[in-house]
Amino acid sequence: MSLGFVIGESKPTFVTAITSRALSVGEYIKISSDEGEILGLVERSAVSSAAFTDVKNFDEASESTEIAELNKRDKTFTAHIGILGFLENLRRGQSIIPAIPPIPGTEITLPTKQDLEEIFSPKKEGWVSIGNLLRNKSIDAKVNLDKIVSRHLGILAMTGMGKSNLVSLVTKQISKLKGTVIIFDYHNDYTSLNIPRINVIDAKINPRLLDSEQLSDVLEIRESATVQQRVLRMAFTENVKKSSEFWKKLESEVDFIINSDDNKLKEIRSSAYRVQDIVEDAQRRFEDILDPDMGDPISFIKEGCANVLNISELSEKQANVALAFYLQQLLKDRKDASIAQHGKTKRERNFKFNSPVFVIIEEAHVFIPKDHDTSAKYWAAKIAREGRKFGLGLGIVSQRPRSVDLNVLSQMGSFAIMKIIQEDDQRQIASATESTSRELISQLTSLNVGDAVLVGQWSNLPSLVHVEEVKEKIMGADQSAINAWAKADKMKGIAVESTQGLVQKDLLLD
Amino acid sequence: MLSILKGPKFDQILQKARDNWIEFMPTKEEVVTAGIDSSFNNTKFQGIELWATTAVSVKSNGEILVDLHKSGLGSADDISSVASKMEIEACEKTVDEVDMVLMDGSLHSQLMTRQANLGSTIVRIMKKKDNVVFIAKTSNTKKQFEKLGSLAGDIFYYNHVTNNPGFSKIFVEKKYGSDKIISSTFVRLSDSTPIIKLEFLGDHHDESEIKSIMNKLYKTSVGGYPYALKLAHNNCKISDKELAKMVSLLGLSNEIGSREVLG
Repeated sequence: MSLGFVIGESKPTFVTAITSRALSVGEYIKISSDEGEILGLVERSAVSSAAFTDVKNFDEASESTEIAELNKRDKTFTAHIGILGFLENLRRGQSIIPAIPPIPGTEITLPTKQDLEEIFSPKKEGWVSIGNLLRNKSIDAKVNLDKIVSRHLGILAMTGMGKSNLVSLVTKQISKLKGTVIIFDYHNDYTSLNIPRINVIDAKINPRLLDSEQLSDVLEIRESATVQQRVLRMAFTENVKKSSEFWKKLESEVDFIINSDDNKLKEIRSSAYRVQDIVEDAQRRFEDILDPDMGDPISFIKEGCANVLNISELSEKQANVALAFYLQQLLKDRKDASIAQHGKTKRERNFKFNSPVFVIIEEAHVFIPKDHDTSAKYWAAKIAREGRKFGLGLGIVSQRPRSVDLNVLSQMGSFAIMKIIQEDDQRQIASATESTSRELISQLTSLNVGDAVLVGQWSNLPSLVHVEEVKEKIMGADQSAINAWAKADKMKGIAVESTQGLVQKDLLLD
Repeated sequence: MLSILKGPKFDQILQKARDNWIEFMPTKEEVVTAGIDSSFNNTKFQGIELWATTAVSVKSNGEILVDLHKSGLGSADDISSVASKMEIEACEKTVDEVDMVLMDGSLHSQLMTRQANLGSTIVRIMKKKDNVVFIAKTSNTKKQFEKLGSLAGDIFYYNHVTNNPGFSKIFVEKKYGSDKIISSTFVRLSDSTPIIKLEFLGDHHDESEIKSIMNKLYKTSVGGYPYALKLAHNNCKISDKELAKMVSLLGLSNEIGSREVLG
């Protein structure tokens, strides 16, 4: 059935059409052409009314409503359509843009269910469903998981728009395939994710494995306290690292500086006293986090599982150090494993991971910031560049894309972009995703919770989808303050009541 | 500035206008109307003139009843007369199709100034079913208050004395001959909308008929102006861009020096 006609000036990548009804943004249409059928995506849709043109006031608007109903020609439906390629090629995953633009007057029609299924729901290995097409609800929206492990993934959205749901869904799907996922969980969002093959670990830091700068961060020595950092650098010797009594040895090294008669060391004595306090304090405060006797932290991560590394107990600096450590180790492990697997030298080595690993970094703007360097950013950038070769995929998640390092962001081969209102964020996304049309980005403000624009290599075509809700995800939803207050108040009442009843009157003093 | 326009007998004129004004709140009455309008455009082209005219008759529901086009190369001395002729042709094709035909413009101007030679034709068509009304958004005529020394057009004084819906007493002009008697009235269809001028052929029109016509117009009017006429106007515009298209269609764009047309 004819849906409309191409009008105005056509381009090989873009046409305008006048249609018989208002088309939805994100709807797919088909354009016939001599070279074959072309698939297009409605990127902008407009309705105008002759009756309402030049309406100047309420009364005229009111009168026009009646008039508009009389005139079936009153409304003009215009659709701006981005051309995605020849349908036949898209079925095979290739986007071939026509050399000749569709001729104005060419008819546009709706693609069949089969047309869309062949493109968006390929029945091929590695493709998993994450929801359905937003404007064609009967069509499953599938993504290629291979591509996100090999070419990385960016999940960008305002808070509360479904980022962690999508992370959970991707994790669940990879876990089903017995793949390895590691989520750095900064807000304790995933520890209660109720899916099979889940491995929740409280992230700890082994101070022996750090360098003095990292240890300084972990102990929360201020950045400006350069003398204290110098003291720590002097005290944190190889002997300390190897000592079975790590903290004692470190303290004794600091004591040595404090008690030294060396004039040079006398000058830094007061700072050494401060470091002594800091080290003592850290043992108490970070007892659960800093563990010199833990084994290799990587050994707690299980291959073939969804690993949730709970870093919510760590301060930002500690989390940064931990993240850098894990990323470094993971890259090293995968590098060694890949070289051993593909290289000509068959040296015997121990590898933790024999298959690809997908690492997800939540709050990417904290760990991979745009405006300053962090060790986590260094390693994330390295993985973004090199991970592909070694089967180490990176997923970065952020609600502030404008604050994420563009070099890392633009290495992401695929994106799920949900509702984003800030123009700066939209600009950053446009810079990072060259293939995404600006028209599609302008739609980001109008998306609802769970709706996402998928672009990049994990989908055959840019698509607007509604992401399925992961029922197994318990945490992460907005908390109801009203319910919590009511519950707290009730508990207060119970507490008062019970203690009153327990008091033995005869024991009370007059 | 306004005081000059008012003139010495301004208050007297206003009083007369007030006396002439009949307040009437129209109620919507179902009717099939068609609006008719024409348009023309031309451009000089290497010593020749490319001209185009169009006339359209369209119902309030958007159905186009008549769509006429003419164009040519050469010197068109008076394209406006071509357009007027087409308008009348459109009117002739419409009178039997609808209850009421709304012509854009002034009957007075049609008969007396623009196309006096078409007068007999238009009279014949208007008499056929007596359902043709000329409607003008603007009017310069100074007939009704000229004896009082009016400086502005009649419409100015009616606009001044009231904001409410209603109409002025019917003014009959017989000086063009017994077969070309024009009855006219100034009408406001709803509160605070601009006044429009209605003109009919003949002197047999009374106030009850005006009220009935107002009811019919009110049904499909926006801002006090019939929607069918707005549609007709929108449908028969010949823009410079369209002329440029014609130049292309006629193959003239290949001629040297034709770029000015497209400018």
